[in-house]
Amino acid sequence: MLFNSIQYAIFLPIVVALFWVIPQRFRVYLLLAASYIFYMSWRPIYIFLIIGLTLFNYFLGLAIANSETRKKLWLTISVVGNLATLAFYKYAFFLDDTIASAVKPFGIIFPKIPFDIILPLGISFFVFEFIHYVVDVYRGGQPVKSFPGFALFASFFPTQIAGPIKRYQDFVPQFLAVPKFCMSHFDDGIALILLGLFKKVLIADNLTFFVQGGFAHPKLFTGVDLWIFAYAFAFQIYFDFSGYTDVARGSAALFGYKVPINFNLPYLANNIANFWHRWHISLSTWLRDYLYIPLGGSRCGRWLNYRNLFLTMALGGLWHGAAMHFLLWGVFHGVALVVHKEFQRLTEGFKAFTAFLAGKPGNVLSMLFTFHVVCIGWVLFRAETTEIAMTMLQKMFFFEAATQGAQAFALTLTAINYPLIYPSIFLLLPILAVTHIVMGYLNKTQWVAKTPIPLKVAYCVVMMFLVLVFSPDKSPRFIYFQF
Amino acid sequence: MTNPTEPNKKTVSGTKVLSYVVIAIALLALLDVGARLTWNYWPIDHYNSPNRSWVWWAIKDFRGQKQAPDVVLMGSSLMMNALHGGDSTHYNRPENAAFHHRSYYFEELMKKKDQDIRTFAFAIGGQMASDAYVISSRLLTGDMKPKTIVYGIAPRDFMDNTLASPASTETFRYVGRIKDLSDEEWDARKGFWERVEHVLTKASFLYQKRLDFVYLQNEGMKQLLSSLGIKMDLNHAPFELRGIALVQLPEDTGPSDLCFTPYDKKQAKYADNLDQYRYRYLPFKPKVYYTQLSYLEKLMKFAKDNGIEMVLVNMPITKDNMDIMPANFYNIYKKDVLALVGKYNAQIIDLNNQKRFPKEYFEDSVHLNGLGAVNFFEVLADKFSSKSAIAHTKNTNI
Repeated sequence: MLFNSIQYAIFLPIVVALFWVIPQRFRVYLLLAASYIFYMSWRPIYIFLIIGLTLFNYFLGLAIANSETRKKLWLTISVVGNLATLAFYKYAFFLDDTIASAVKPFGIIFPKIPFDIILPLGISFFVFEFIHYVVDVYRGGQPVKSFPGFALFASFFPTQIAGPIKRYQDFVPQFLAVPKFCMSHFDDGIALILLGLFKKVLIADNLTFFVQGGFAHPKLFTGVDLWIFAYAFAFQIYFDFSGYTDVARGSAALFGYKVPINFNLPYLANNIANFWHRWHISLSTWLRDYLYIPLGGSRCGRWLNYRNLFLTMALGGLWHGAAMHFLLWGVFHGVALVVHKEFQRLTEGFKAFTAFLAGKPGNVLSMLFTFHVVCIGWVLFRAETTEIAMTMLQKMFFFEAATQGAQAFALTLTAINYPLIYPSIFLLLPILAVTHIVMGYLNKTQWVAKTPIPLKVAYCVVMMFLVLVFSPDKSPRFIYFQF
Repeated sequence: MTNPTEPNKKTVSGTKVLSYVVIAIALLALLDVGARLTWNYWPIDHYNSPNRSWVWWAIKDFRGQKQAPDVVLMGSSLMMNALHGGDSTHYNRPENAAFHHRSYYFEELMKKKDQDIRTFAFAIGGQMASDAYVISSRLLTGDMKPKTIVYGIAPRDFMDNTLASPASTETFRYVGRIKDLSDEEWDARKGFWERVEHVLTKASFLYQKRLDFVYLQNEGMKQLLSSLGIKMDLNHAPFELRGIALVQLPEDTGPSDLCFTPYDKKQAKYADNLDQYRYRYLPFKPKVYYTQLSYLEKLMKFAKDNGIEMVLVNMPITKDNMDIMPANFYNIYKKDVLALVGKYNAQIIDLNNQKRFPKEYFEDSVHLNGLGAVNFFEVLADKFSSKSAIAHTKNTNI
């Protein structure tokens, strides 16, 4: 059941209405049933997986909390069990192919997995939530006593498929509290859902048409063209994923629940570390708390710290998908973070330079530089194969300029006038960039919270009209559904 | 320290009673009603569409006809290939499928038999019996009523697993936009969610007319881009990008997307498309088949009630294709079609004859090549010109 489908448009109001009319004691059960129905709408059989993992982690969480001597054993069993499940569904074919390729030169034929494995939706997200839970209980947190409450934590339908990755300490108490219907929650929830659908359906889906052209046929385009495709993908993935998150947070708000934000205008980041404080925040904080810090974090020597950063990002890349280009994307960000740290260390003594970077012009230059570094990463992320990514990057850095001269710098995209998104891109991308900057300013001034009611009404009418009229009949899936 | 995971009695509450979302919904409902009441005054040509599909091109051309055609040719891509391939090969010129809606060769053949007829072709790729019915019953009426409908049928037109429901085709959707199909729309939707969407479409006028708004937005964008000096020329997209666009907008057809060239024995190739047809035929779904058969019956009744002569042509296909059909399907199809022909006193010409149309006449398991297309119209003209040769129910060999 997609958020941008008629099914969800009917499902959500029914659940919300039932939630507020039934007594409080039944609400968790209602949401749990709704969440399982939501999950089964794709492949009913996988309901056993999510229920099985929920039981596994619930009892191990209690065992960790209650055990004096075997805490570590129960934690190990739980983490290994969760990771093994994820590895089986997500990485089995990747590992099989990698091993087969590695041993092939030695004349060894490694057997192929003789059956199909279909990746269950949302597994990467709920497995990370389970690991967070057992680790935090191990670290001294209180386990969740209520089984329905715990089950709902992992399966809550607005965040079930693509996060945000929740923390049980923040989330579970919310639905164990007694919520009272509040009109402002309702209004803000609907406004957020409309914004999310607008981002997904009107911006991301239209950019998909454009992006697909460049990434499928990089040989048709020049380096300048490919930079524009990379910019377009940067905005596509941002609007797609942040749109999803807005719908998720808006849906949760209709029940009076708060779900953490996942994005904070990431393309306004002025360095790569700052980017990771603004992009997919729930994942980056998870990686920090459950991978980077356990590896030693920054409380160790310089090179060990760099190793930790590198490993965290490489594994974070692999979390996105079992493919070499995702690993390369993670490695790229790991290297970028290390380079950034080294840069900070080396320039520490140059006061004039650091003062320039701290000033407005320096900040703008840093933002532009960071955005372009991120875009290079997006090429690795989006390209379907490493070969396509390399072809694109070679062109983007004008390696062919030596043979083709000025032609390599030409903008051939302007010759394409159909589909309409091609000529429109020259208007759309600057508008999106400006919107990003304007939103940064508005967020600082708390403008949205202070907006007068007539403006809010106008905003909702326009959004409802746009979503109603311009939703395509067949919208592509949210990008993060595949992870 | 309190346990954060245990129930507490804290309430999440608020006092605000004025909902800006409810006000917005009320305003949107007013806009909806306003649009419904004033729609006839909006400067919109409802025949326009953001997607130029095959049916869009055909109806555009049909609207430009000064008089009703004598013979309307209908059918799926089987008839479409025959139409374009026949003219292209006979006159040795390329035929652009977006603009070519007349069988000049068939007209020439009939003229040689002293029958001066003018044709128009609504042969559209993927056309189902339900599509043929909605086109005929909504467009071939009044001043534009032809004397004869020649409908080329094949088993795929009744049993296609790629089809969600009769209402899911671009032809049904487009005809539904420009003509009143309200008496057909409910039954033509088979799935629960299709019907839910239909109810919502009826409830919201803005949603119902969304394609008109999308068209207006597209035109506005084109004008804006033109004013910025970006020339809008729809022929400039590289072939690969058109391919990508067609994946996303499968119904969209550019003005030069499909050109038929004269048959050339050296260039002629036979493509194996049996996998595609296996998927379309199997598993055999009686509900799909009998639904489509009911539309054929409606079409024949429409023709009879309106005094239009109905000629069904059982299109030639290869033995390879017949061999992959579900067991006994072809016999059931033949029996059912004949029963309808008898019931409505229509005529049938059976050209599915592997001796008359051997494999050399095909470019794949069902589509005639240029050579086969020329032959098809020659045989059709022979049968068509001689009433006695048109097989009636009693003496047909179908």
